[in-house]
Amino acid sequence: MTQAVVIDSPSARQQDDTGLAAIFSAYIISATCWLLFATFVGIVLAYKFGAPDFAPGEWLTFGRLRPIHTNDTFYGWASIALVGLAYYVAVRSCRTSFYSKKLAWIGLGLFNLAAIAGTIALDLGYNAGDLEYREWPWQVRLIFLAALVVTAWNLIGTVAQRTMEDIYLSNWYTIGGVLWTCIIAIVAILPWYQYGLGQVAVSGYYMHNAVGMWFTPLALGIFYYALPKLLSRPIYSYALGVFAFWTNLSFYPILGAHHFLFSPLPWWLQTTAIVFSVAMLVPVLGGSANFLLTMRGRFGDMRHSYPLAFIFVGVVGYLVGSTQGTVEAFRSLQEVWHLTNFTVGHSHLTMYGFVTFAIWGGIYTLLPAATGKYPSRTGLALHFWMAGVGSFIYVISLSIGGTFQGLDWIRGAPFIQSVVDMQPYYVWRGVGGLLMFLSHIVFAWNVCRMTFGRSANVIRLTPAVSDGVAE
Amino acid sequence: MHHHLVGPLIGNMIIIGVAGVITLACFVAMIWMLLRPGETGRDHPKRDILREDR
Amino acid sequence: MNKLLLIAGGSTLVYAGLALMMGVLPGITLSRTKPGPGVKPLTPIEAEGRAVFVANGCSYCHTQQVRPLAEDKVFGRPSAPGDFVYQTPELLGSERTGPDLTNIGARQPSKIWQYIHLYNPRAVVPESIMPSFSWLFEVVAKAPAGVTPVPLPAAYAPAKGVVIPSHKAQALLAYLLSLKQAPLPQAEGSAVPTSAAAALTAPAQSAASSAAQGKQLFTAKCAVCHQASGMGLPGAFPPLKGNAAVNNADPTLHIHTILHGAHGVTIGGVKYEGAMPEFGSTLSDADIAAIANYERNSWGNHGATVTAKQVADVRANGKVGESSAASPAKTAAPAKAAASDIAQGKELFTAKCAVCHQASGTGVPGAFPPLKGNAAVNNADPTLHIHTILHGAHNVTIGGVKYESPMPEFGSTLTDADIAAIANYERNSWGNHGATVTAKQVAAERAKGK
Repeated sequence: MTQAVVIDSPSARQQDDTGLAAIFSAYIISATCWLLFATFVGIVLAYKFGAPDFAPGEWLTFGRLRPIHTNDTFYGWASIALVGLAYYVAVRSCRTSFYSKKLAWIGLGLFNLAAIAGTIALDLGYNAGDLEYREWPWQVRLIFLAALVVTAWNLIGTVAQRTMEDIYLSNWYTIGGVLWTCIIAIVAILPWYQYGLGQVAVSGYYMHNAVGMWFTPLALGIFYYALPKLLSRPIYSYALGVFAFWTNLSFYPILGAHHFLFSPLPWWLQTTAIVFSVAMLVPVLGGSANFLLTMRGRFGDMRHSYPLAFIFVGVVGYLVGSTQGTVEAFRSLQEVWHLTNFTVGHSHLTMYGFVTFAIWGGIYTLLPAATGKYPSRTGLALHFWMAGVGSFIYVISLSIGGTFQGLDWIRGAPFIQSVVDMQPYYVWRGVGGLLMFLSHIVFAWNVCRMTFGRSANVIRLTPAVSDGVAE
Repeated sequence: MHHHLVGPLIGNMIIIGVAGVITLACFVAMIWMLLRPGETGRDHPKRDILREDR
Repeated sequence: MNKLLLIAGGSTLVYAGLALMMGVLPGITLSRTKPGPGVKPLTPIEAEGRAVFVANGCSYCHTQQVRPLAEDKVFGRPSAPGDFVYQTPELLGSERTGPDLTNIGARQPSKIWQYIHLYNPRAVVPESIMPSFSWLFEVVAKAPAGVTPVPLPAAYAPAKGVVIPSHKAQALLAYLLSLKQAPLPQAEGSAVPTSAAAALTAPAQSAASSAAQGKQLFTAKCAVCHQASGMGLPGAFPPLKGNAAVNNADPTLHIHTILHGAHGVTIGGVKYEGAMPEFGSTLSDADIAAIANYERNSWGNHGATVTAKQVADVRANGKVGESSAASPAKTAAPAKAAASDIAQGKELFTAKCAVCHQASGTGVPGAFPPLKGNAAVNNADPTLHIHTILHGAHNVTIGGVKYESPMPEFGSTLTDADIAAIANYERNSWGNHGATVTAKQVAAERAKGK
C-alpha cells in the first residue's frame, strides 16, 4: 500500500490514496494542535494549585481556563482524532473510497470552528452554566452537532458503498458512537425539561453518556481494527465483539442514575442503576479479555512495537478505568471519594490512560500506513515512556490525595485542613502532568515526521509485519 | 448503608430478579464466547479484514 | 444495506429510547418540582451576581449540594428537592476543592470579610488556594461619597489609593449573601444545640472543653476573621491577642459576644464596622467554653477559665439590650378552639413539616423519613408519634433505614392542640389510618418530659 507514495501514476486509486492520506493527516494534525493547547492550559491550571496568584486576572483565572482544558481535550483533541481514525478505518475496512471527501473537509472545519469559538467564548466568560462538558454556549454546540451530523452521513455513505457483504465490527462502533452522540448533543441543548432539579438529572445523563457513548465506542472501534492489523492475527472472538456492542449500548445509558445516589430520583431508577452497574462488567470484562486474548503469546512483541505498547496500555486503561467506575458507583465508597480529587484521577485514567492511549496506538499504526512516513524509534520511545510514567504519577497521586481529602471531611477536620493536606499531591500531579505535556511535544514531532517527513525508502508490505518505526 | 433503597421490597426484588437474570445470562454468554470462540471459517469477516485493504 | 440499517438505525433507535427514559423523562418530572417553603426567586442584583459566579467558573471548586451525610452537616441541613427550583443553570457542582456554598450567606454573613476574601483570599485565609478576584474591584484615589473602601491588610492593599468593589463585585456579594438555606421550621432560640464538636470530631471525646477541641473549633469557626495568630486584620476584624474582653476576669462580655455576635463595636479605640455572626444557635455551651478558653490561653493571653455553666448562665440571660419578648410559644399559637381539625393540621403540616417530609408524605430517600405507612404514625398508641413532634429526634432508624439528620423539636413553639392537629392530619393522609390524637394526650406526653 505504500506504493501509493510512488508519484506520477495519476490513476483513480492513486488519487483516492492521496486524498485519504491528506484528510487523515489533516484531522490528526488538527487534533494534535488542540492536544498541545489544551494540555498546556492543563499545566497552567496544575501550577495554580500550588501558586494561586500565578497568572492572575480575568482572562487567565482558574474558573475560565478549567472548562477550556476539559472541552478542548474532549472536543478538540479526542473527538477530531477519533473521527479522523474512524474515516480511515471505514474507507480501508470497506475497501472503498470516501463517500465524500468534501464532507470530511467540511466536518473538520466545523469541528475546529466549534472548538475555537467555544474557547474564545469561555475565556470571555460566556459559560453556558458551568455544566460539565457542555459549557460552550448552545450556538457553539450546534456547530459541533452539525459536524457530528456531517460525519455520520459521510461514514454511513462510505460504509454503504463497501465492496463486501459484511460490515466490519469497527464500523459498528464508530457509526454507532457518532449517531448516539448526535442524540446526546440534542438532549443537552433543548431547554424545556432543564429547570432546577430537572437540569440536574439531565446533567447526570449528559456527563455520563458524553464520555461513555462517544469516546468509548470510537476508541473500541480503533482497537478492533488496529490490533488485528498490527499483530496480523484476527480478533479472538468476533461474536464477543458484537455482543459487547449490544450490551454496552443497552446497559451503559441506564447507569446514569448512579450519579444521583443522594438525590430524590425515583427508587426504581436508582435500584436499576446499581444492579446494571454490575451488568456493565459484561462488555468491559468481555471486551478487555477479547483484546488481551488476541494478544496472547505476543506480549513480548511490545519490545519491538511501540504502537502495540500504546494499544496495550489503552486496553488496560479501559479495563481498570471502567471497573473503577463500577466500584465508585457503590454508595459506601462514594461517601469517601465523591467530590474529591479521586474523581479527577478517575477521569484522567479513562480519558488519558484509555482513550488517549488508544488514539495514539491507532495513529502510530495507521497514519504511517496512509502516508508511508514513519516516526523515529527514539521519538516513539520518548513519547511512550513520558506519557506512561507521567499519567501513572498523575493518577496515583490524585487517587491517594483524594482519599485523604475524603477522610479529612469524614473525621470532621476544619475544611481548610483538606486543602493543606492536598498540597503534596497537587505537586506530584504537576510533576506527572508536566511529563505528560512534554510527551505531547514529542508526539507532535512524531506527527510531523508521519505527515511532512520524508517517506520511508523501505517499502513495507503491510503494517502487520511492521514495527511502526523508520529504519 | 443503602439509605436510598427505599421503595417497596417486592418492587426491588422484581428489579433485582429480572436484572440479575439478564446479567447472569450475559455473563454466561460472555464466558461461553471466551471459551469457544469458534469462527473457524477462512473467509470470516475477522480474517477477511487482514487481507490487503487496497 | 439492510445490515447497515439494522446496525446504525437499530442501535440508534434503542439508544434514543434509553436517552428518553434516563435523561429526558426524569428531566421533565423533576423540572416540575415545587419550591420549598421560604425558597424565593433571586432579586435582579442577585441574579446578576449569579451570572458573575457562572462566568468565572466558581462552581468548579464549590459545590452547592448538602448531602444527607454526617460529613456534610457543617455546610447546613441536607438539601431538599424544593431548594433547587430557582436554580437554573443548576450549580450543584462535582468537586469540593473549596467548601460548599449552599448556606454561605448564613455561615459567613460579613460583607467586609467576603470583599477582602474575594479581593485576595490569602488576606484572610493564608492557606487558601482560591484565585484572587481583584479585577472585580477598582482602585481609586478616594472612595466616592457613600462607598466604603475595602479595608485590606497593608500587605495586600495597592501601594496607592483605596480599593472599592465594582458593580460586578457588589452583585456577586449580593448573590453569595443570598445563599441561605430556607430555615427548617425550628423553634426560635429554644433548644440549646447539641455539641457541634460532637459532629466535628471523633465520637468518643468526652473532655469537650479540652484545649485541642477549642483550637479545632477556633480554626473552623473563628480563624478566618480573627486569624490563627489571634491578630485579626487591622481595621477589619479586631485582634483577640491582648483583647480586653478576652483577658477580663469577668468573662460575661466575651461569652456574650460569641453567643450573640456583635457589630459596630469599638475595641482599643478602633471602630469595627463588620458584623460578627452569632454562634449561640449552632454551638453548645461546652463548645463555646472551649473556644473562649482557647482564646484566653493563647497568644500570651491569660484570662480566667470559663466553664460551660457560665456560658449557660449568660445564654439564659438572653441578648442584652433586647426586650425580653414574649416567648414564641405564646405568640405563635393563638388559642383556637377547634385546633385539632384536619384543615388546620394540613396548614400546620405544610408550614412546618412538608419541607422535609414532603407534601406527599413520602419524605426524601435517605435524608428525611416517609410518614406514609410509617409505623409510629399508624400505631394505635400515639406516644412515640407525639413524643417525636414534641422533642424532635435524630439518628433514628425507620423501616430499616438510618436517618442521620436531626428533626427539630416543636414542643416550644406549638401548642398541644396544634400538635394534635398535625398528628391527626398525618394519621389520616396518604392512606394512613392511625387512631385520633387529642390535645390532652399531647399535654400528658409533654408533662412526662423528654
